[in-house]
Amino acid sequence: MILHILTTPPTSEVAQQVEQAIQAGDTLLLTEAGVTAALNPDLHCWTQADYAVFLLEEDLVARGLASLAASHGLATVDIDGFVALTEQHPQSVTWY
Amino acid sequence: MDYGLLVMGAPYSHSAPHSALRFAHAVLARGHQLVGVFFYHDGVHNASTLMTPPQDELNLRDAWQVLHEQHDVALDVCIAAALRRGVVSQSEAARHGYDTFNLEAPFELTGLGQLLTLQQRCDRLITFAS
Repeated sequence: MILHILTTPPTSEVAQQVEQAIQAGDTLLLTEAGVTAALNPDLHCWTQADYAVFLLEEDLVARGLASLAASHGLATVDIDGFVALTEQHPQSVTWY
Repeated sequence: MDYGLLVMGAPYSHSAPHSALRFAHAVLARGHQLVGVFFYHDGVHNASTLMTPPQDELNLRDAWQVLHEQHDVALDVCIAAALRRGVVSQSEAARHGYDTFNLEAPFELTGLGQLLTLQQRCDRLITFAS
């Protein structure tokens, strides 16, 4: 179980690499520009069920996307929840 | 748990240092120990004593220093990455014949070995990069 931390938009090459690398049972945390994935609820990461996906709340708020994410019913964690995810996952990879 | 952070983003250019700082405070708030922060690549600019943001903006170097003073967090800076980018301590400035320097305690110039030591010492090493 690996925590993947993605900091770039879903259109980036890095985001495509995460899609290839992530395994069933892993967790994907979208942070910084990665939270723009909230703009499109049809993205693969939202429609698949192999791994959990969370948006970092503070970064959503910073980009004015918090209410949009909520209206799409997308799961979020705050910075405290981010730490909790790192507690639950012995390994993490930051994609940037 | 013992945590270590690796910061590779430049202040005011990228989100990484701000993200790392917020994460650092959250780690401490949850009762963990933050053993150290290692600044690498463009992250070395976090250590510059010459950074002068407007007064109503966060001074990141000062924020890291407060973290050190209040929670005894080691602030290690990769010496090779720092010297390349013009971030130098007093002793390095003297060695290279410069009139001035812009890195001082509690930041310390160290080698990459320190990053490995931090990784081995900690239960978690989280990377913040841009």
